[in-house]
Amino acid sequence: MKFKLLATSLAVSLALTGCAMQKNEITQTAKQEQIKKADDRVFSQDYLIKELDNGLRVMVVKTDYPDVVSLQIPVSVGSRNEVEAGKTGFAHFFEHMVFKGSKKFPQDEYTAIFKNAGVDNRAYTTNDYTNYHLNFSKQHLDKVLEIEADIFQNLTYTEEQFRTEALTVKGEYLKNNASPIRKLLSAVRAEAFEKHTYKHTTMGFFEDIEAMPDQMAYGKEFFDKFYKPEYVSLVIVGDVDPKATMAMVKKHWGGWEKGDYVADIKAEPKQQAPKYLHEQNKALPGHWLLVSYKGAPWEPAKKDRAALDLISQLYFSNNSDLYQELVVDKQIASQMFTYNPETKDPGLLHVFVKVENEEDLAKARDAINRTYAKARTELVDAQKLSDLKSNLKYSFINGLDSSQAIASTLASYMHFERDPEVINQLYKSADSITAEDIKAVANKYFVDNTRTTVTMSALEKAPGFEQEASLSEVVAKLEQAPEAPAFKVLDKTNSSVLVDVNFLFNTGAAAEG
Amino acid sequence: MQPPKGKKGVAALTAAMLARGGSQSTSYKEIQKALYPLAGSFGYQIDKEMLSFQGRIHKDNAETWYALISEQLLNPGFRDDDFKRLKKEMIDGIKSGLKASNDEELGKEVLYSTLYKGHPYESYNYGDISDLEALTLDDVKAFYNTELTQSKLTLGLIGAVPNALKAEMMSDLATLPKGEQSRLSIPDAPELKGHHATIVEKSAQSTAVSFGFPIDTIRSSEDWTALWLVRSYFGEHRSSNSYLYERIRQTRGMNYGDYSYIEYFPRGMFQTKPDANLGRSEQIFQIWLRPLRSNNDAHFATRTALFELDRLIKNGMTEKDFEATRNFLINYVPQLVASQNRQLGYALDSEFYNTESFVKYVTSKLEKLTLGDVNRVIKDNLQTDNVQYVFITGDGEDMKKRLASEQTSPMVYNTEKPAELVAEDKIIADYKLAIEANNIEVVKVDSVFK
Repeated sequence: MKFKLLATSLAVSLALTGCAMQKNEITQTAKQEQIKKADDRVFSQDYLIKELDNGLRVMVVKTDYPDVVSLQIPVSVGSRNEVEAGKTGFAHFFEHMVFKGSKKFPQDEYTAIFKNAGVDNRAYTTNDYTNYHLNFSKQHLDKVLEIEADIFQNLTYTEEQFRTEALTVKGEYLKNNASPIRKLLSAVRAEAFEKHTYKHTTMGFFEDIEAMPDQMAYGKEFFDKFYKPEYVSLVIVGDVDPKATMAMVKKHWGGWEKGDYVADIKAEPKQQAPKYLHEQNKALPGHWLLVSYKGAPWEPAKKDRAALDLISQLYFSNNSDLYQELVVDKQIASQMFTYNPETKDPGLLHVFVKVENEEDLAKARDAINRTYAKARTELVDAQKLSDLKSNLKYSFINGLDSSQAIASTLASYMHFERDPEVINQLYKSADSITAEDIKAVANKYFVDNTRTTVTMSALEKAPGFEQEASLSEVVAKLEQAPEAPAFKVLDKTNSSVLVDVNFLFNTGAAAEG
Repeated sequence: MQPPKGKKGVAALTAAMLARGGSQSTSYKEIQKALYPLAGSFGYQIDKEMLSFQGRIHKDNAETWYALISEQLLNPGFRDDDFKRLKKEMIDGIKSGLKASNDEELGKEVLYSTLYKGHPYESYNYGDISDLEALTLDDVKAFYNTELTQSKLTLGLIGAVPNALKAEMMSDLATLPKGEQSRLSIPDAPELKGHHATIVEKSAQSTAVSFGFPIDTIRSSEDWTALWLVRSYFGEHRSSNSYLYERIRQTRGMNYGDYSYIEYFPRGMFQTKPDANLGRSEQIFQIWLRPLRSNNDAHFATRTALFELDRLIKNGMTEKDFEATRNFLINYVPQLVASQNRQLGYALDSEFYNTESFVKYVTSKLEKLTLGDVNRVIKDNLQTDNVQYVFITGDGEDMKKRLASEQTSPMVYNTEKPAELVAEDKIIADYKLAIEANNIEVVKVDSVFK
């Protein structure tokens, strides 16, 4: 689900490791007149989708936005596919290399063509995919398709280019690692995962980045394994003629030969105990706490993923009781946010808190613990839940307000199953979620043994973290505490601004004595 | 079941200590000051089997209001100064309110007290003077702890109550003691045999009259709606469109109004519609004659009311009167629940009586009623063999003499009256109330609710 639209832009950018990457500014301009009333699908544009004989999946969406076309080329390879030891970060590194061009279209030549044609050419890499996105005027579609097709099939670079770009990537790592949030994410992933490649971030481990300049041969191997049509989708959205566009794609991309590599991605074994790590960061003002739980895999027809998204909004967003408590009322925390990236395999659901006083770290941890316990024991208000679902759904639709926005949204889902209907499936699952589902999903995922906690500060260790704070104990306490009230309630609440309350006791003067 | 001597009024004083006294954390003065800008209210109403704490607040201020009043209700201050002030107010209310300046209410309350001798309903809701004087804070605390239990409580909410506040109320009220009984267990009224009169003598220019007898029909009873219709026809409260009013006030100009009741209706001189949350397991049929100019007139008006009641029992209602009253009630009943707090109050009463919502309940029953039903219900519920009369008068002995000797009470007008009326007056002037001398008691007002 595209909760990214609601999240802070900070959290959004965490999902991506981009170079020339720029986040689409998705505005809230209402385009609701485009929503067909009888159609409750969130993605309801007409589209043409076709799989070429070589396995390349092509999707074309004609929009009413004039002149502009957005081409997105999601490749289903991300840091998740980096299964070989010593080769982490390669998907991202390779994203850089693809910009080097081909024999026919070397970098300086195609960039000159793009410049004259006003093509905006960028890319980013995530855990699960790498996306190349180009925006331009419609008359350049054929040329852009031709150049990109040639680069994807005949990428060429020299060892000198390769070694130099590896240094750029190291610079990017160092730049990113200055962010305490990225540092925390690297730390928690390394701690939480044993076998799965989510153990490393899209940047990769630092030692592997340092070794990159000597990996010229592996670069070739990587390209041959993953840059194959069965891993790639083309999403073309804008002022286009779908049939003619499909013919152009076929012309330039139809001759690309299919590959046969499948990465053996090891499943993460079940975590056996809660984990904790303290990262000392001498230059850091304040103290950070990150509490992460293992989440659900990408299964849009099931409720788990959507329910986890709803939980993160209900209990940890800016509108949540916890935010009100920690940031607004008690002002223990100066920052608090949740981050729940969509991942193909079970990833992590994060809650970040920054406190100013070291003794508040444990308080914030306990407050998060209480909140998860609440999610496991209470039934969330049905109206609140339905309001949230409605807001998310319409915010998502509101965000589809340009060809580029539509294309980039589609690209971020195409890598999963290369089928845009997964978006509708996901929202349909979300629609069916009840308060009982929320509670059930909370009980399935938020258990002590799937938790990893990280603290980071200038201190050598964080006070109050010598022992794990048990979630199951808080849950047990909440479950036994409230006995059913023995009084009756006559609830005639309505929308009247006047509130009348009547505490009526069946006793009186006849009881005197 | 008779309340032991010494505790009458403890229920009302407890209620006052909560609603009009400070909490543990905040004095009453501070509470009032905080509620003032919110125009928030919090008060209580007490009857035999119901004690209601009610408040009204704008939704924007509901949290602030609740923070104050929940402390009053759940963490009462039980302060000495509040206790002294409220006790004094209650004693003064009986002395200078009820007994000195409200003869009509006094007559009604004496009627109830007399009919329920030895019964838990006997005492006045606000106690009596000597008991109030003897009550201690410990008595109040004991009543609070034993009677204000969750089992006996129904929380009624209406309006845009914020969900968080609702949740807060749920957990707060769960701190009250659980208790076992969900309501009081009330025995049947003592049996009334024959005709009785209680005459309260006090300084008074006029004579107030109330009379009645216990009935078995209460709101949840099968025949209640039919009897409610009869009451309306015979003496709808404060309405110029009812039979007794027409006979005594309109035709004869004897007093301000004449009404009949089948449910407890306090404060009738101040309001035109009954309050909610006065649910009772036992009720009486009652006729209330507004004050008469003299004992002679009071005697005559009482004879008229009895004469008409006998006639009603004998002849029943006519089809035309039945239809008109039924139409009136079907159209009028929504007015009884027209405001938001009355809607809530009546809904709570429906819970007490275990009936449908009030309007639906009476409307659906009224629609099915026939004249035959109504006339049967009159015969089943109304009678004049056993009646308790109460007179509040300046000359008790005179009133007693008149009643005991069945003295004629001629009706004199300041104008010509139709022959038919004059003839009827002649009959009524000697109409027998048949109260034996030893069933007539004259008491000084000082000894009432003493």
